[in-house]
Amino acid sequence: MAKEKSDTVKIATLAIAIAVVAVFTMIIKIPTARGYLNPCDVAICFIAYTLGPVTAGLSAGIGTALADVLGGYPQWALISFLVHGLEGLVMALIMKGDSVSWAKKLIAGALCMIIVAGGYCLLAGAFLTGFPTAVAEIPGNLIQSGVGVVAGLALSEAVRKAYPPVRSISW
Amino acid sequence: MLEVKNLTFRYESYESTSSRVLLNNVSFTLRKNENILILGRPGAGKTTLSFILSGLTPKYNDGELTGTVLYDGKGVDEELEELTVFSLVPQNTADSMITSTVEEELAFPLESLGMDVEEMERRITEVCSGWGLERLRYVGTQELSGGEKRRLMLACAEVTDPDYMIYDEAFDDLDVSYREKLAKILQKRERASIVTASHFLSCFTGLFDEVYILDGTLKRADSHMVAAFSEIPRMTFPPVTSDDVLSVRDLKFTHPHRSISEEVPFRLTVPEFSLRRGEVITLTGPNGSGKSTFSSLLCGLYAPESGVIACRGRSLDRKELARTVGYMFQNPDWQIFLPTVRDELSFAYERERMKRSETDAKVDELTRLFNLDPGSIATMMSYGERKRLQAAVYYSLKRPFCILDELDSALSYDESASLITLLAAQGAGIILITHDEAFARAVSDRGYSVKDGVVNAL
Amino acid sequence: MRYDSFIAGNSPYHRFDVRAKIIFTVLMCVSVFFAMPLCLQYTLTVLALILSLSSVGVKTTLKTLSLTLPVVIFMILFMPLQERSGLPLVTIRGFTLITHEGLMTVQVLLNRFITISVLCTLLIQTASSRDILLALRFFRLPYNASLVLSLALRFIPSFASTFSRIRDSQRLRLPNPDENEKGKGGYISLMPTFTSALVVALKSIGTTAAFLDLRGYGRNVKRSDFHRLPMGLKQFTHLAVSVILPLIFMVTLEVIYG
Repeated sequence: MAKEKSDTVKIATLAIAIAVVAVFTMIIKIPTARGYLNPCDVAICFIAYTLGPVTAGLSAGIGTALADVLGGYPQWALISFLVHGLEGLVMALIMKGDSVSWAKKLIAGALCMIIVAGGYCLLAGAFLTGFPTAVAEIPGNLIQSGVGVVAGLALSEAVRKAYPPVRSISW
Repeated sequence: MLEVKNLTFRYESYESTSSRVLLNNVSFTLRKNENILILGRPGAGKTTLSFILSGLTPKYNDGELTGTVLYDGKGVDEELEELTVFSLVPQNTADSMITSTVEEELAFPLESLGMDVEEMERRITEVCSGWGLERLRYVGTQELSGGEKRRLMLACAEVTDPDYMIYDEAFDDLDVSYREKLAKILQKRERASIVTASHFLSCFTGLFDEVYILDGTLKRADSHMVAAFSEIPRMTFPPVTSDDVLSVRDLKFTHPHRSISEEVPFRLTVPEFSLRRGEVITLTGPNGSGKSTFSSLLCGLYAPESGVIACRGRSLDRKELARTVGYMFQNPDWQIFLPTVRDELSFAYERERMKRSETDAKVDELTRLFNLDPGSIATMMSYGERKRLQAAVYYSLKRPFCILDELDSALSYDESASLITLLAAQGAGIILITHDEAFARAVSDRGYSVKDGVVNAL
Repeated sequence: MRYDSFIAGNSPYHRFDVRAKIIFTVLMCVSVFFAMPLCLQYTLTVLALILSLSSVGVKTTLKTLSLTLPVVIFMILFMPLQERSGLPLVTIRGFTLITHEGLMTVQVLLNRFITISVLCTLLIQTASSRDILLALRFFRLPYNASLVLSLALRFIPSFASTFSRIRDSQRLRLPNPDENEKGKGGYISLMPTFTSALVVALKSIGTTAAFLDLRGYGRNVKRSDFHRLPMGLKQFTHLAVSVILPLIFMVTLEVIYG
């Protein structure tokens, strides 16, 4: 859409993207040392691919942080905000534009895995759990974000087919 | 005075979706303290028209609009900003709420007006008592039942005290007592009102100064044309031959969700219930009385605390119930997820590993029976078409029993009747949940009603 | 499932001003990173637990602790990796399992983690999300940002219930509804649910924007507030206490052990 998006539309888009990330984070949980594994990366990848960098960065950060707060893990909220916010922003910046090549998707996916696993390890290691525990979390985080990216990209295609106007929502 | 001149509108098209002209040269006027009724079949553009009259389309939905909407000589955009000129009671209440509690929802427009706290408190208390929301004031908006959401939207539209009201199918979802209440408000003619509806309800008689029919264009209706919106076609169902009976005895259940913010948890009791295969019965009752809860128990979504649900004399567990009783949800979008109609309809057959040619033949038969275009994009079809697609999916599943949750609420009588007849022709035992008493009587003289959490035979 | 951690109550900490509570929580979480003897670390943990017990009771406090349990177990399990070069404390066949320094480090980490977890959880258990948002507004969070947050909070529970309703309804439209339960296909079996849920969510963007407009968002009139946090002598005292106490504590720690 050529029209400039109004503040009202931006607010609605952002709020719903945050809710989507938070619900994906909370609704399926596999307990691990970090708290739990979840398909939040599926939602983040979808939003990064579909809704543009601003929405992706903010909704990924705020959505996962809210999920931590509401789900009873508020001590992780700040770390989630920083790590996932960066993840969403970086992926969206790489996958900007109408046609995204497989190479770009691959780079975005790899960076996503590095940011999530590395970010949690550094921040949790320094501030919450100490480095041995944080390092032990790396494989779990790599798997979660790797599977998340693959599923997220497949999902983006499925949604584009099922609901074509989705392409006009990005800002 | 509201003047609507030469409105022509079409939605933006996406890929294979067609972009027909939805409204063609629509004009009418609404004078002070007048009530008008706009009747139209589902998909005729009533909701689109109500959004255009509120200045929300094409601002928030892509499309091409020509023509003018003037409230007291001023443009609709200017009057939308004003906030106290007109208000809209939307058909879709679930998506229309923007806050977490009833009280905050009512306060939001007043805060936008910059009103002081005492006046806000006075107005909120007033509309709450008007629409029976006092007890629900601090309850979460997502915990409300369909009818309670509608009442909140009515209260929310009234709280700014506008001169004009647009009620988009606002009588739907309301139970009988609140339908009468809304009719009384219209009768007083304290403001100018537009009501849209798919059916001419019995309580409409004498309420309106003018009745229009929307069908691409807008025409004044004569009594003959109105009759087409109030007549319920005769439905004939095949005689019941099966001996299979779905029976329920002493079922008890406490609702897991609604108890959070209410002092007393919601309880449902079903002393006795029976449905024969091939039979069509109705389930009626006021808003929030427990109709959906009972349905969820019947199809095995919830586990009862005590009691038996049995078929052919054998008690069924939740997994067996899920295969025995189909539950056609009120919202078709929840059950649609594949790109095209063809994909949706062949989904179940492919899971049963049916041959390609056989699947194609079945899908062709279904699209013919339910009047669907196999190439259409499912999420972009009109509500009526999505509802037909959902019915076609249930038809293909051939469940012995089927619950139709408010199938009629946004469909025309003809369309609801034809869907029920099709599903019944297959030999399924059918429970129709409805708020429309006339329609319920036309469907069946046997049925059950739910009141205060107790299910009783009529 | 609940999507709000608030537990209504009338304890002193419940009645403590929400702004003061936020400041107190943040400052105390910073203070645990100051150098201090181990016994003081333990004292802080015990004080945090006492505060939690007196505000939300035994059951909720135990639940908070149980949520930290997986991390705690991991931290203990990985103790052998801490401070390998330290003074051996436990050795098995010549292999140093735990060093003295390793044990000390893990105790400090555990205490920090539990104190932070308990205090943060207690904050959201004793303050409603509405009050926390009002407090954030008081700390100069722009109105638009708080509107986004409150909208997101309105959508989370309804979107979550839509999500599970979609999952149920799609299961019920399968020829054999319980087949998915047996062979859990992970994300693959959830893809249809994800797709429908996202389409439903995306469709609601336009409607939400339209209704924000209809309810008067973005008018040129200054908005008033129906709910406001009170600001009197009591609240001022709370704020003062929540700033001064942790600051004195931190300065003392810095002077003695820093």
